[in-house]
Amino acid sequence: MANEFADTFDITHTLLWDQSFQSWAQLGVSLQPSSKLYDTDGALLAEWLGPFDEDDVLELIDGNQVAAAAGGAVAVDRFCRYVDRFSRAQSDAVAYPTVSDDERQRIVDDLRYAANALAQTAPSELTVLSEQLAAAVRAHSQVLLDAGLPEGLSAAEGYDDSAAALDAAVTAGITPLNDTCGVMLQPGATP
Amino acid sequence: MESVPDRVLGSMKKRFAFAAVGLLGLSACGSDAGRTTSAAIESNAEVSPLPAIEVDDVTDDRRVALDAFVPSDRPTLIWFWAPH
Repeated sequence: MANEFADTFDITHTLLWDQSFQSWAQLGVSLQPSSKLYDTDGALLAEWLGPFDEDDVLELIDGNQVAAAAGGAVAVDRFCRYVDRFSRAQSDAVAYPTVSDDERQRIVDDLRYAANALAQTAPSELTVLSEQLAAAVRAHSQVLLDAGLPEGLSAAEGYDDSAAALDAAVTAGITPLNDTCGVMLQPGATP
Repeated sequence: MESVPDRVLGSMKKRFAFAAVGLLGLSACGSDAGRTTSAAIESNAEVSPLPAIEVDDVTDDRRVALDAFVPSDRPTLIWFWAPH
């Protein structure tokens, strides 16, 4: 349905699909179409129900562009929060073989979420490395999900290959991410 | 007659002084349609006003972290629409 919508309206901007409706619920959106405008710091500038005037938006955001130097520091700080979160998710993942199915799901979700987030927010010099790490986490997560999140990891078909690829991606990120964020990723720490 | 998506999306395509994000939901189908990430359990309010959940990026065909879109180096307009 979301793909049909994108094709129908020839959409070129980012289009997200939340099948769960969880984002709408958490943001207090119950009527559609609704819109929310956030400034560069994440403060809510305005919200609308129904169509809105583009000129109103442009007036509200006038001058609200982050200067390159200041924005760079903020962006790196934000990226590093996700790197730290990924590192903590790795630490939590140590318990994977001994926990319940729900907990194993949570561990895999957290790893994938943090990896995606750090790739989305990576500064330009770390974009390739971060994308490779996120892709490796997604692929490895899919292997585990396809196998039903087994307690015994050898039961997951393709596990050895995806785990090796993920370890390689983590290893490649250790030095640059430690230099940038002071966070040391751990090879071999993911399930 | 021009539909609401036509009017809104047409406007959003004109100029991009801001980052435009369309956030589609499944209208009137409750909450059993999709799995949500447990990452939402962790509060993320100090980092972003958006929930720390994964959603599908239709344009790039992958799962993404919603809260990673805001804050940003440009203001961000999020438009919520539930196709019928």
